[in-house]
Amino acid sequence: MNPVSQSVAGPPREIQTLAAECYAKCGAEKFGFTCDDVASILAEVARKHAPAAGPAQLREFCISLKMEELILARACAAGNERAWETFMLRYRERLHEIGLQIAREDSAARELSDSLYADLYGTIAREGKRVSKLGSYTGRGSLEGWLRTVMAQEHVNRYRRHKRTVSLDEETEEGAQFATPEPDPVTVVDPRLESATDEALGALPPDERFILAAYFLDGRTLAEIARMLAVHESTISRKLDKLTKSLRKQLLAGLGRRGMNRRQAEEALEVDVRDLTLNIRDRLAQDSGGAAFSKKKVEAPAGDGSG
Amino acid sequence: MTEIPNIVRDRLRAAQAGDHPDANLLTAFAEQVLPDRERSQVLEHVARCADCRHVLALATPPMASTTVPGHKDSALARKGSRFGWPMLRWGALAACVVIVGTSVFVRHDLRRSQTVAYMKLDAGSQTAQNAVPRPPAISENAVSNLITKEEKQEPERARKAEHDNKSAFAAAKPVAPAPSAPASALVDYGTRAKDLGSRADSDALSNHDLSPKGAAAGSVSGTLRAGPLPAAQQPVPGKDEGLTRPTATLPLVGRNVVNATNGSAPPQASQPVQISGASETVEVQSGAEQAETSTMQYSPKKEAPGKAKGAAGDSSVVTLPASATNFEDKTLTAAAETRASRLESELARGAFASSSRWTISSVGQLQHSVDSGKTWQPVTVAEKATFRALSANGPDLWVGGPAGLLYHSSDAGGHWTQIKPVDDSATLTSDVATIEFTDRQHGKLTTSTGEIWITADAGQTWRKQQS
Repeated sequence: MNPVSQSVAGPPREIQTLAAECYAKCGAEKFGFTCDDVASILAEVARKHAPAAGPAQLREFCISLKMEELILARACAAGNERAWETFMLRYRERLHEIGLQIAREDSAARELSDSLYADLYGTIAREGKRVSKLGSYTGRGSLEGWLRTVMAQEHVNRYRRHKRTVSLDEETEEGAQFATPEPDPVTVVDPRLESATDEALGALPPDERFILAAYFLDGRTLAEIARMLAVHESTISRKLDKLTKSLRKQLLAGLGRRGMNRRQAEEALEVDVRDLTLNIRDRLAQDSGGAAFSKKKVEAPAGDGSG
Repeated sequence: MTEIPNIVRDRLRAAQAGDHPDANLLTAFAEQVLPDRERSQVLEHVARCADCRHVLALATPPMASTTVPGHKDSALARKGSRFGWPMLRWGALAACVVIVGTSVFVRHDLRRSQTVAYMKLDAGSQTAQNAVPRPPAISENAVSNLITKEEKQEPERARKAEHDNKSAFAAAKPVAPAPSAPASALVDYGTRAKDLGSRADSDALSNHDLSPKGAAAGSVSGTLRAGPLPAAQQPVPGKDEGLTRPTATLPLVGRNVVNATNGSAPPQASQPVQISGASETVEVQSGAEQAETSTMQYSPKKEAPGKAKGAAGDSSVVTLPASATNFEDKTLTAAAETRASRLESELARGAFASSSRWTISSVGQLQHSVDSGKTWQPVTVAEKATFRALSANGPDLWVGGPAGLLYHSSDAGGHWTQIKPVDDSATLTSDVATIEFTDRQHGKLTTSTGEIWITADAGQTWRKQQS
């Protein structure tokens, strides 16, 4: 089997020492890796994730890696048969289970896991060399977790691609060929409101902003958000409640600093002119005869259409 | 939950995210292994990037949750995880109650059993000596005289009697010999009693057999010892409690055994009685405290002609100083010690079983831990064999590996047998991926190629399930 090719510069001494220490434990020998190969792998990972680390930090970083799984992944990427046997034994069934959890449906799960297998095995050749996705695994998290993330990314990409796909059937609908793009309603938002909102949101720590976005934009439940942040659900609930109240106060304060009085500020926050615009459009649409335009929504840049 | 203004939603949605973190970073974030600085950077990005939030939500390992995505704060979402903190808290409390209750129950049951054993022992003694005259209350002087006389005249008989008594107990309930006072200082009371019964100066002891004939006879021997006990044998209040020092509560008056109490407290009704059986000796401590005397009524079954009455006078009542009834039990009874050690062994075995763990290392080696996983010892099953699947059901172990490699042990890894499942013409040759045994008989193994092999007779025969 082909050993891992060494990069231009040799690995730092700390990494070489560490590679020698954990060479036996990580099972590199049975996959045909030498101590130098292990050091090269560690050096590559360290360059990617901890480029400016000092010797002590470098050692600490390398110790935090999932060495055994990293070696297994790199051995698979290099085409080692024994490594593949081990990988299949450990992860074959697991991949399908993960696919089922992600896709929620058996055929989609099979498709997802099969396509991932192809990527992992390395059906794509670059410069005559097989390129396996497992070569990009760096051991920061567990291999199973990495496989789950890769599968999730693939699932999301497929979903986005599907959303952008236009069905031919829709194109032949009556009147569809004469469809004109439906312009988004243009609303004039008070720039003071926008800047106050940006200011208030910018002052939020990342986790609070994440909670707001996950709850109000993505529609995640408190339990899901708690799981993603590894806290208890009640913590998220309390934080969210506190956050929404303090955000409103911050917005009112920001609008006040921008020259609005309290009543104006409250009115600006509570009334959204887009809601009014939509209501009028809906009312007009109910009174009309038939759909003159295709209901197919096409993304178009905001123009000068009337709102 | 308070809603946020639409403008806030818009601005949240419009935020620019920047470069997406790769799968390694997202995985490390989901598994909470990123250092704080990197975690903040990833969090900053995913707070602005809907796609990455979606990937993160899918990549985070799910709990056993019944939440449905998109249902914001619905009743189902609120019920959400069945293993939330409130449930865990109550579960932990319930577990503590069960553990405490079980230990109290076991302890109570143990004591009750030992008490019953002693009651039976005593009842047997009562029955066996139904017609035997109850022992008299003997004065301290009489005791001293008896001991001195016997020790002078018949040391051999004492040693022989002691040996006989020990054999009797050993025959009934084999037990390790318990520590006892120096034999030279002890005299077998029962034999003395028999012998002394033929003497004119001790009518009270005639026909009274206090030597133990084993648990079946239920009699209790007594060894009278003049003077206070040696320092090493002085009673230690509270020392002899618990499983190793079982006691039986017997009323003081009207019994045919010499009553004993713990420590040096004067005897009262229903004082705990410690009955020694292993060394067949009961020491009577005639201490300095003689606050009161206790009296036992005794009616000799028959009176040998010419025998003198008891030292106390014409009546058959002999007064025994209270302190002389204070027994110091230095040894366990055979029954008590056996039971205690058996229970302790069982408890230890249970503890061992609960702390025994099996695993397969990353290099495919079977490992065993006896301390709940703190330390591991390798277990050799076969030369150069590596395994990937393991099933442990008490002492029943199954390990599987590549190319149909399958081993079984029914004695917790002491001995291994290689198993080659065959069904008609099909033989297991694929890599064993998983092994599941619900009990000793019924098991299922799956291979990397999707084959399923089932056994219902502890692996003697196998059936390949048709997919």
